[in-house]
Amino acid sequence: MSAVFELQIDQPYTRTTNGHGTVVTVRQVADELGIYPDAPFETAIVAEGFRGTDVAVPAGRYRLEARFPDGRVVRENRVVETDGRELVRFGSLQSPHEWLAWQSLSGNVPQLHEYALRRETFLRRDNGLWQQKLTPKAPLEFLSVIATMRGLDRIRPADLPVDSVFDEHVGLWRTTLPDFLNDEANPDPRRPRRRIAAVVSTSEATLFAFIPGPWTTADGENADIEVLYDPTLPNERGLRVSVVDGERSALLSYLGSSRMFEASITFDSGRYGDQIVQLIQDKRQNPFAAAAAAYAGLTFAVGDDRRERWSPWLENLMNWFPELPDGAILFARDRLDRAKSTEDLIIALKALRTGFMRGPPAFSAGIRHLLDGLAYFQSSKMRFALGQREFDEMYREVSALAGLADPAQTFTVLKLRAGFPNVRT
Amino acid sequence: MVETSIVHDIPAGGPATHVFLVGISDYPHLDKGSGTPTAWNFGLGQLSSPTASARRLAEWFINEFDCPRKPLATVSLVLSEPGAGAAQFTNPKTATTYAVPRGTKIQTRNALIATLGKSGPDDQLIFYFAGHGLSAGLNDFYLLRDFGEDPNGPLDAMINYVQLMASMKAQLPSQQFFVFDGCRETVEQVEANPNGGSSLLTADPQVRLGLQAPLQCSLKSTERDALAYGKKGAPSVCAHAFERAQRGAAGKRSTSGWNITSARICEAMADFQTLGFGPNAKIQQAPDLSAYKDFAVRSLPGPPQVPVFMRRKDGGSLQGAAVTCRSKGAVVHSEPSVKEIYWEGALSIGEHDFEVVLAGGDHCQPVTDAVSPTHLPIDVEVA
Repeated sequence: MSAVFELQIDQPYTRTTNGHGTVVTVRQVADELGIYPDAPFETAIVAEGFRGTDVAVPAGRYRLEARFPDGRVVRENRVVETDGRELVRFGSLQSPHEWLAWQSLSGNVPQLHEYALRRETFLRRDNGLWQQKLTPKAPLEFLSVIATMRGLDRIRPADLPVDSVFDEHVGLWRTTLPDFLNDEANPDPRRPRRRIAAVVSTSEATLFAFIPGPWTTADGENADIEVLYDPTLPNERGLRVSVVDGERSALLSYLGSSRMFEASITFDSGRYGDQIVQLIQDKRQNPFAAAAAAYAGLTFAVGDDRRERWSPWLENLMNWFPELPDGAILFARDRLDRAKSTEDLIIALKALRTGFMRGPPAFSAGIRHLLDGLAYFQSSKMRFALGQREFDEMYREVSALAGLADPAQTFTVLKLRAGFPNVRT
Repeated sequence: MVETSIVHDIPAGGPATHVFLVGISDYPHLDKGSGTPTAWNFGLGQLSSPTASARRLAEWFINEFDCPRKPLATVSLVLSEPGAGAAQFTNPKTATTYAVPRGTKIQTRNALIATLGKSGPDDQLIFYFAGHGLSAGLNDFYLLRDFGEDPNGPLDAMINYVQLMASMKAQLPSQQFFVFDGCRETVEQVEANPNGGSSLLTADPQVRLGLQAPLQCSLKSTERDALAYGKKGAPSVCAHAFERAQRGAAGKRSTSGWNITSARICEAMADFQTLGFGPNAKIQQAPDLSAYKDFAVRSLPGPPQVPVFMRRKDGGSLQGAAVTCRSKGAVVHSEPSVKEIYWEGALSIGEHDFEVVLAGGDHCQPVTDAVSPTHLPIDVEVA
């Protein structure tokens, strides 16, 4: 390598981190002589904010692409000479408000121009009648619940440190979660634990989001959780949950937008890739982050080093963290992919049941994997290992939950019928 | 005339590729259909692009899918087109004409079983569906020809995406690439019936015991709540993008040579679906990756040709312009009069010089850039 690209993402200021990670692909399209090389240099890295990330490359012509969580791809063509150093700054993300900066970076709200445009379009609909639906300060509440696949139990208001900010229609709430990992209210590891949820009711539906955490950042701090409510999003999909956790947030944002190509790239991204494997290894620090990394890691085939390194740890993620239903689902998915015997299949099926009994997964990807796993057994006699009635009930209830879930979210957000749950009792 | 879904069948004698294409344009029980209308029509009617898409892809695979590692073994076609009889398809290589199944649930299932019956554990399946689609939560449903026929089971004749993918996971082909080309609008009745539709196949997890789980990559042509586009009677934006990707735009060079990979197909389709009606069109149709694994779908005998799109930076038209492309000083492409407001070509990989003279005689600034996958976009400026 004889030259260096310094990559920067032009990001709005965020008060808590250096910035949100963004995947950047670096591809050589010609060498110094203008010829397409026999082995063109190609890499992908997670770049973060203004701090700049160096990529050593051979001299030549390059195509660089920043692949933002909202689906935008910003391209730059650059030529770098031997021993040269080239700064590449990817175009500015203009947040509608300073307080929506993290939401813009996460791909949850559009940039300034589109934000204004969408709002105008929304207000023009039905001669402005839609305006009546806008609640200037939406009544979002934080609840503490026991959630099963069948419903919610022991609902009570959650006493959390919350600050909020609004414009004419969008509201943002920030909080951190207390440590519930030692909650002894329900010590049975097969039963769901108490969780925190954010709930907002509209005239058409109740949107119910599980808050992941407590979420420990890479620095060992308790992360800020942001909850956005944007009623202008279609089909009651306006409740979104984000964790403010620096470059690790890249993985979360790509998971939420089904950008598994970009999510999987994070594993190959040098220092950051090592961090992800470390995340799974250090699951005691943050089992939620470990689960997020494992969901992205499942995109690698069985036998790939990037999967084999952490696959044996999934059993501990299942056994050590009953508050995280996703651990059992991830273990089951991995076991299904490498099943060599009927016994392996039954172990996987029973792990799916464990996940089911612990309640709705924290991640929407968890619901999908749980449903996929059960569908795999749906017409097999192996389902009788659980008892036919038990399997059928599980499948029916998970299908119903999947029908309520928003696939375009990282964390589980459900659309329930209006008035449910009655949070004011 | 031969009545079968398999319109191309060349036994490979080793690892092979099987292509299964479904295009459902005619829905007898939806609006303006020829049969008894169903009350559960969700405002959906007749289409024309799905069968044009499936036909176009069938011809392309038969004529051009040359893959030394997994050569083409079979192409299967299911077409629901208006008219009394089965749709006909003539194999462009053998000139044999086939009457293909019309895409009812049973016919589609039987056709898929016939394709899988030809495949082994080292084979690859490429599955393409075009037709109406509906969404509910994390699941999607794709409507077959007889959708709405049974008033007692109006949602029966659709593919339940989750169940199909689960049952395909228990089939023999070790590589499976899926494209679902249909709208994904949310419908309340479908949300209320999350187990509606059919898996088409019965999954037996024990079939693959001892084998690794198949590599599945599945791409939906549009995002949830969004539409999928196509011009009347012509291949859809998605089908067009899929063909471009397979032709070479999704090429990746590695130590094993040039391959079309699933990751690059996804990337190329995201690029080309936006460019589907040209670089000046405002179509927003972002594909959605539902299952992702990276694998080589097609090995190429050599470097591919890669699409190049040129437009004017000021938004003006290139119609009538002369475009000349040079590589190492030699003219490799010359177009005396561009037909559209933009120019599209396909060039070999490497650096090229581009010269443009507008219809009125004005020259554009010359451009030098490298052609490489997935495509080269060029914005020319009037000098």
